[in-house]
Amino acid sequence: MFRYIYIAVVSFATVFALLLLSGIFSASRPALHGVINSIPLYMCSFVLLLTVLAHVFFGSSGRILARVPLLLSLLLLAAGYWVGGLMSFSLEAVITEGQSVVIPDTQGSFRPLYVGKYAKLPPMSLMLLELNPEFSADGNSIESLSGSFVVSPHEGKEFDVVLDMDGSFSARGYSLSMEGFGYSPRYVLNSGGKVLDSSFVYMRLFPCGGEDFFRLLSPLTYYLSYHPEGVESEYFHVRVARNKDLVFDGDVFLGEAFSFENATMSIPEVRRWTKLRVEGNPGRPYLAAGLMLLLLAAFIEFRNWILRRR
Amino acid sequence: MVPGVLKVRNDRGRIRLYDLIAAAIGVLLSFALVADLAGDKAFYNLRFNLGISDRGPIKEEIVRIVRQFDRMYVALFTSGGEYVNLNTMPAENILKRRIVQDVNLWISQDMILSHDRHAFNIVKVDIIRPDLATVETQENWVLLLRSRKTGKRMKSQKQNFIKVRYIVTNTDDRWKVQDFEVYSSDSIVPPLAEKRIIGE
Repeated sequence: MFRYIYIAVVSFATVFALLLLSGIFSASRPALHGVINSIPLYMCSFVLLLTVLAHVFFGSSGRILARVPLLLSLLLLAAGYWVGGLMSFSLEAVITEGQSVVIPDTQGSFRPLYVGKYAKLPPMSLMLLELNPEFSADGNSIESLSGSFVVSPHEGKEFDVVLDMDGSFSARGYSLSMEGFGYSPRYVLNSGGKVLDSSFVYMRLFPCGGEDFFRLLSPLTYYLSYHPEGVESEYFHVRVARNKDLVFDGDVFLGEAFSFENATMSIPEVRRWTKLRVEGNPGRPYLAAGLMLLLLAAFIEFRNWILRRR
Repeated sequence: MVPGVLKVRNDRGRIRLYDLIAAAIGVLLSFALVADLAGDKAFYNLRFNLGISDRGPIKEEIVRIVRQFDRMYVALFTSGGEYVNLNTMPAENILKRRIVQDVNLWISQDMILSHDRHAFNIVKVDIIRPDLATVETQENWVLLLRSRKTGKRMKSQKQNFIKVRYIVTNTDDRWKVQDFEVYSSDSIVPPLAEKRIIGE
């Protein structure tokens, strides 16, 4: 009986997760976090644990002591999975050189189910000082990227961290990593001799020649592509459209003003951005301990099997 | 042969029939649950993702929606703030707001920007996802500023040769124009930005 429950539950959980991840019944694919932390998979893990306990206590004919490591490992794995599901989080923040973000008060792509006091990590502030990309020979991809950050915990001394694109950094329960690279031009919008607005805007302008757009409060859309290695100097191709009316279309050098309608705009500065990913999973220590015990249990089972065969 | 045992294969050379039944129950339940979670469009999405759906009628519908949007877009500008049919305009509210904001800016200056359509040619229709498509057009407009009160021409007319890429999305079983991108007539329309696809 136990065997059939194992087979049915494991088949269900595996196919369910694969179907969700493939997105074959939906318009878009869900994130891995959402699939792992879905209610049906929690129910599967609960049923599986109950079945294992029942099997060990009622179906293993007095060999309970020999199964203690297996039991403990399963309990730890289940605890790690549930604690992780309840309390793990993943946040993303696009950060431009010179900019600071406070975590965990950023937009979360995945927020924990339990948001009580035990799930809260102490806030800290991160400031990106500089990004150092190394480009491929054709300049269309990044070979390596490192970022210098200043970390200011809520309590305690601030310290410097250098993050690489392939690595991560752990501090006070957070795991920090970064992915992606792009340019953040700073626009200055003038009208009637006054500066109306000025700000950095993060845009997907890498690889060079790639186009992105931004909008302000007016009906205008500003399309930009960035060419940092122009023949004379770095330049942008700028297009400004007022709904379907194309009011400006041309190349503009860094710092050069261009006019449209009753306004002028210039782009005096370009900085670089990356996407900072902040993750926390309090279930990881349980999962790690559970996996180690599971390996031990597997070793004991294997040893017993060898002895039985002799 | 022992009842309930198949001569297939496992470590002892066979798989039990009841094992297969248990696995089949798990697999069937997972299919049923995932299809149920995906909602009413589950089998439409499945056919689309497997590449066995007929996309012709969908493309026709998308083109019809873009043409309707275009007609209503012109009417909004030319009527100078006649918003009676705004609810029926097949566009997302944020796009309608941008158009209305533009019309109102002209009205605040007692002007109307009339659009005279000289050409509107559909170049390409791409269905990217079951709920996302793009339509590329080549358009030629003559834009003319008129006084809202007298109807007199305020400035010389402007010829506007453009390429437009409409981003069309399906929500609640209805296709709507979510946004459009404007390019000059001699430029090459780049591939759709990733942020449009992932909805960033």
